[in-house]
Amino acid sequence: MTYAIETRALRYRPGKSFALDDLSLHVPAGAIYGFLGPNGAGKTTTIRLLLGLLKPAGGSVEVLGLAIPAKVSEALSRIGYVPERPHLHVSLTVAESIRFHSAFFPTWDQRWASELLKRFGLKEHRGLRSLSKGEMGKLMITLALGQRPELLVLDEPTDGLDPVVRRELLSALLDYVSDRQATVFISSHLIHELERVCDWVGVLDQGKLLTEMPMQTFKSGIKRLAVTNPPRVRADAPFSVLGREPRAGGGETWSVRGWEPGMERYFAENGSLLREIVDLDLEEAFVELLRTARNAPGDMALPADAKENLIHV
Amino acid sequence: MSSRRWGSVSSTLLTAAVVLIGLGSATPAKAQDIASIEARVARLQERARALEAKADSIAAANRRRFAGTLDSVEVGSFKVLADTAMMKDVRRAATLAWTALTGVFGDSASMLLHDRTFVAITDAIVDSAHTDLRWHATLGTPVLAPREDRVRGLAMNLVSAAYESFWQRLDPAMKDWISSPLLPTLEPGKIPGNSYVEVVTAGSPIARECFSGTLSACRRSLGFDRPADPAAAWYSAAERRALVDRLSFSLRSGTDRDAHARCLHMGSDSACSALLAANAELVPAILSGMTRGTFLVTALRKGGSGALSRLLESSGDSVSTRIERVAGTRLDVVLAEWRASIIDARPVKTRLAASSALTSMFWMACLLTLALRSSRWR
Amino acid sequence: MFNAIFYTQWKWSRLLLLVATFAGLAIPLVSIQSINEAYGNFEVVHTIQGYGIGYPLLAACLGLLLSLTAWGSDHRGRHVYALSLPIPRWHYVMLRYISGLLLLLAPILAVWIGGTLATHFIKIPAGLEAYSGSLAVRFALCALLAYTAFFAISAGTPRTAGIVLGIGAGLVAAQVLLSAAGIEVQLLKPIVDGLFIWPGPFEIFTGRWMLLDV
Repeated sequence: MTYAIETRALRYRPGKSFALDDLSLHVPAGAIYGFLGPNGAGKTTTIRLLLGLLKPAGGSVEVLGLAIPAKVSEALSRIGYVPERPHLHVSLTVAESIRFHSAFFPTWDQRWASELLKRFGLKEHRGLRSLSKGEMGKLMITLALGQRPELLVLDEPTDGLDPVVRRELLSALLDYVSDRQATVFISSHLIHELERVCDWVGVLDQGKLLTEMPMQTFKSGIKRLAVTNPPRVRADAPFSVLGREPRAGGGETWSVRGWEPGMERYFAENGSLLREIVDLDLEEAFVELLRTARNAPGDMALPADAKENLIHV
Repeated sequence: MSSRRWGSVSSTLLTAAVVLIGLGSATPAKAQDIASIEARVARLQERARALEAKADSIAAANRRRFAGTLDSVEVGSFKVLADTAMMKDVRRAATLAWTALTGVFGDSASMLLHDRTFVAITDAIVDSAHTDLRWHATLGTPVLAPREDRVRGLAMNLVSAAYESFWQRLDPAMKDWISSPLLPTLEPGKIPGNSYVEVVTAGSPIARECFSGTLSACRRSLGFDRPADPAAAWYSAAERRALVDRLSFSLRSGTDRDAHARCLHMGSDSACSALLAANAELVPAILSGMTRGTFLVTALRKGGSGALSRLLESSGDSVSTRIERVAGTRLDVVLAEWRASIIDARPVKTRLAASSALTSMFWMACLLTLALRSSRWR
Repeated sequence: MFNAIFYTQWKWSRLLLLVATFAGLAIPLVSIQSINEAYGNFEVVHTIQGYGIGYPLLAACLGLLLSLTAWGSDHRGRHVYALSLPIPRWHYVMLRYISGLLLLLAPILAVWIGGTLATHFIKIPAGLEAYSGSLAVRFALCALLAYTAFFAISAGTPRTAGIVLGIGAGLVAAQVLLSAAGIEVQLLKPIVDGLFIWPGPFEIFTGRWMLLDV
């Protein structure tokens, strides 16, 4: 598999309270990769490291096959980037911003950009200061798409936007991706939004990559089980235990992945009683994953197999 | 109680005693009061003696306070008392001042110092209570040794004190010719650039002739012989008109307003000339007192040893004759030397020096290199 | 690329440039207004000298403000946009620098034109010469130097700028404290001398700024 983005043991420590540790990301070429994580997890920092805006303390970054930061300019000419906060020169108008931006990208497609402006209903003479948050988001997407990038890096692009604008932006994005087979690396904490568009997912928390896998795998077979007289987890268990904790009224609640019908037998064979099986959606799975990871200081509380299953490539 | 506070208490008490004595003596005395007045006077005298004793003890305390820290330095005829901590600076300043002074007045410069003792005082003493400064003044003439650029500052103040003494000892005729005190300088061989500018740019064509090398014009420019009608003798018609315009305020106070109007509004030179002739004393000399002072300094330097004595002791003759005597040579010789030194004093040219331009470009290149190294890591 | 950067810089600094160009044109013209009232060329020279301070002051202010406007927008966006553009950092800095240099030409030309006009319309008194060209060159060097110096500081990180300003402010504060305590130590003088006496970087500011001189 070729990767549009690949990091190996990437490290960054901006201060004492936060560090990015041994981050190894693998974003397959042509994928729409959702980079999930709560606020403050390090998503923006990771993106800035990928784009060569920050200097890593260790490890390596390759974007579109180019080493970062050594070949950052070459890489940036093939990347469309929408940062977390608007970063454009606000004293310019929409047309001036487009003229400024296009000057730096030899692949700029003015016709396509004009079409996008029209589609978003953005007037060229409008000053950036007078644009609403949604309009600014549309302009940034226009600038990112107008250069016909091979890779789109979007840092919370729809954060704070109303659902209509959000849908418009995602729709334009999907159109572009289906048309050009571009790779999209999109960070967000809005799980449902990513659930609809992403085919890969990576979860970051407190500077650590908790998991990275195809979205389908991530979503499938995540269950919460109510177990009475819980057994020890055996190495040959057919599912992965993400977490287990005592349950009010006796027994335990287990969070598992890879559950399939018929696996109830495992409990019966071990002298336990499986009282309830609850389906979890992506958001619940995400929360469960974070909760499990956070409640596991070191390797102590986390079952050995659960630890193994935290990161899947 | 500190000596400073004693100082202020004693001066208050002394003032009170003097006022009381004054009041006592001014009050009309009645026969029956004479005995009581005498008794009162005796009491006040006793009080005054006590206060004097207290003042003496304060002075003694001050002496004890400062005496241990004071030392003296003698360079040439300069005797300077100063705090031991700054003796090194004071010695350098006195040396600089004495060299500058003898550069103008020769060895006779000691005449200007009258065996005076100077006391170098710091800004701290000037800023402190009056008693400190007053006490230092009892030891000699206080001169400031400023915090900034102390050596040159103190040297300049010492030289200034000598120049002041020189000015006071000049006779009125000489003072009248120079018209303003000589500018003290630490570089007597160097005539101020302002004099060059003045000679080159003076309103009268005579000054420009002097600059071109006509010594008789230099003599006229320096105003040794003031003509009865200086405006007619020194200035052109255009300059006379400009002069009337410039002196308008003084001339209007006179009576001939009609001539004034004809001069300025109709350009009548006869009206201008008449006005200026009637106010000859208002017509300024071609060159200023500052520049005439530079000429006197040239004569003194030329005259060498004894020039100062000859200047201070001479009187009666014309200024030019006295200057010839001071310089020990003909006036033309001094004029030629003065003119040469004026030309040497040409100020730094306005034209940009190549070294300055190249240096600034070098620094620009250095700063741009720094800017180009601007890190992309934020 | 250059056109794009130049356009933004022009847009941000056009008001400043307008004012500076007007001032550059006005100073020489105003400086000769009172010449007719001056008596003798000595006063003329003194009057011209009085206005002389205006040129280095204008050059310094212009350099400072132009460098601030050159980087202001990037500073506000924490340089994210500039750094995400596909050109090397030094290239971007160079484009911004050259744009500023070109924009400075307007006030520099204004000083030259103002000086030339001023000396053209008056009868230069005998013994004096006009130095409009020399004045404009000196002004140009000062403006460029001030712009380059402040540009270099602005191009750095806030940390760099903080260190430079902090050292300056610290020295001034230390000097004030020492003076207040009666300790006679000169901290600033050697630094000021080093900056303004040849071959210091700002020696060019200290020359004679004379439109008319001997």
